[in-house]
Amino acid sequence: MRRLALVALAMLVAVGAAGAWSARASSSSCRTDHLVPLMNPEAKPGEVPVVFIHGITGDPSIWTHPELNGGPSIAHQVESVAGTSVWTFNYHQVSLNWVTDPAIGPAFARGISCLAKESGRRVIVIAHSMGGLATQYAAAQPDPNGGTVGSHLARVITIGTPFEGSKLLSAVQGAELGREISDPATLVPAEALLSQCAGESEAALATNTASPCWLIGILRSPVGLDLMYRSPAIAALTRWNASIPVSDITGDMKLTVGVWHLHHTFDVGDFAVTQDSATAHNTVGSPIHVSCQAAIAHILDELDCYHSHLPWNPTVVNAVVSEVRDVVQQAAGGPEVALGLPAASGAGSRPSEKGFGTVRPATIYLGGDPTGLITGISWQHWGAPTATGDGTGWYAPGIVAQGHYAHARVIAWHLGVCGGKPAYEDLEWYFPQYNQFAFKSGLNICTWQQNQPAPAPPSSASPAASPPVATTTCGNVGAPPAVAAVAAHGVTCAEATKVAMAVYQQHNSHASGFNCTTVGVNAASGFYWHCARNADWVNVVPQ
Amino acid sequence: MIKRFAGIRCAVALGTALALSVAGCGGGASHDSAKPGQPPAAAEAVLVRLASSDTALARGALSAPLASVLAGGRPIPPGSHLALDTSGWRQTGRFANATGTLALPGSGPQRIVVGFFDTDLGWKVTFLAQAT
Repeated sequence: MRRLALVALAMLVAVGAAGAWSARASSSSCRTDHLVPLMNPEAKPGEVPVVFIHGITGDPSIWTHPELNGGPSIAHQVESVAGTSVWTFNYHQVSLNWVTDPAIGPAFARGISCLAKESGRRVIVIAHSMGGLATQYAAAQPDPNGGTVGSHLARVITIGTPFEGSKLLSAVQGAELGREISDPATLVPAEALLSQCAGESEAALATNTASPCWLIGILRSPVGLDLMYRSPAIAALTRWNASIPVSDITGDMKLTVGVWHLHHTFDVGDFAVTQDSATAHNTVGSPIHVSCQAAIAHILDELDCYHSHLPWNPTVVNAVVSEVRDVVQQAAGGPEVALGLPAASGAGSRPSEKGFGTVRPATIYLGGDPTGLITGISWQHWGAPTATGDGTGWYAPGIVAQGHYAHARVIAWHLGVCGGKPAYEDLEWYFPQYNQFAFKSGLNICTWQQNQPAPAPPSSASPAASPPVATTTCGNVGAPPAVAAVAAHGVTCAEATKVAMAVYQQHNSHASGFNCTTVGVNAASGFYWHCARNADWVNVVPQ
Repeated sequence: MIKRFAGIRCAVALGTALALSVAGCGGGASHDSAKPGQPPAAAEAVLVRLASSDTALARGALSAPLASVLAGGRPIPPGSHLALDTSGWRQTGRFANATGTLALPGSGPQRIVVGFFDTDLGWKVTFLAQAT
């Protein structure tokens, strides 16, 4: 009760404050009936636009609701991050329609384009539930200035977005389509919910999103079928471009259903959206899982990780604010990281090269024969010290004409400054399927001159060793061209060799209980790896 | 399986006509959704089976999906007594919940809430838990 009172008090404060803010006029040309500044009086050039987009039957008030512990709302906390202008996209009037409605996805796409153009910054989107699907639709729309709207997105943070739809909705709508649902893990919670919510009024079912019974109300909306698990409407959405940084947040509710002391616990995600669905498009780090426990008899109580409560969960708010701060700080650092410089800018001469000097190039071409070309590259961790891309290259271990296209993994690293701008100075790619490096630059793609040989693996990358434990050189593993030297600390050479084989030949980042990471690239020989398990570790260095 | 969701199908079909009562759509006992009413005799009978000393009979009182996930054995200790309140029944279509009491052997009655589902085989229990 005390908690509820705190929340109620904070809500009153928040509503009053939000009203005062919204009363201020905005001179932004991006402002529409749907896209309005949530708090700031207006956006200033150079500020990173942050746009909150709500979900089905929601409205912007979800973002100004205080935290469940009574703390400031997520919107207030994001607004406090310097260098942001906070906006909200409101499609409440049509939120029972699918995201292709002109007033939802297309309008949101225009809003993102406008904010990016006006601010000169890429936009951060924070999306709850179906708002993430509206963002997915918007990202794939053509931008008036070329490319797609997705290129204007610095980060998309989704909270309980049903990327694959809702299994719960499928369970309760299964009969409508003549589709049998036989999975008890879905059926039992669905039947229990329908029983628990029996007797609720139509109005409560339709509008009270704070109650899980609201899920039943969605069944009666046009969008109810579209949100079913792996529905045709969801399948018809253009898939996310993997180069768009997406962070997914999901509820992880352990729901107990049973009869007296005989019961079973189900993983139901946030109850509306299962974890697999809510994390289907995470491309930045690992998804965030917010846990809670619930019993079906108490499902109508305030639950920390229930779908509609996630934006008010302090863990979620902290994660979102932290991520916004990181992105804004990165943006404040100046222009985005580029891939080296065009060769014409350096000492080399590669007149037909492509992709150098650009941000997240989809195509890299060194000039010359097709072995120097990688296309369709989707990048991860661009801007981090090491960026990794997956694309298609021409695999030709012998005669070029006898090669074929294959999946190529591209690594850009050695973050430095080229022509006064941040850029990766080194580049390599290889074909994971064939475990063969195709391009080891040895060439600084900033200066287009040969690199100095890279140093041996840094001993500082190893965890602090206990003095009595000696490091053992275990010799080589593999066969040409994939030969690696193995060093072990605290483990036998047999175990170290097993780890090395797993990580070096299969690129297994969790080899035999060891957590493996690349710790550097030797320009002459390729990646070297460090695998750690508590104080034990194994180094794998290509020869 | 079709009948399993008949109440919901009915609710969806009538969804645009919000003035219609979904409670009156599913057949069987019909009650005002705002006012709890008297439980149907068939629902009370299923609770008698749930408390039966015959394990098979007791588990037969559960909805099929629930019975399939619960560990073996009797759901309720033998000798227990279950009773529904005379005016604690709330129903929408084929789903319902009710309040009542559970008296375990040697202990006093405890307040409970029970979920029900009107299947092809009659009312079945979807959950039973201590009331808050």
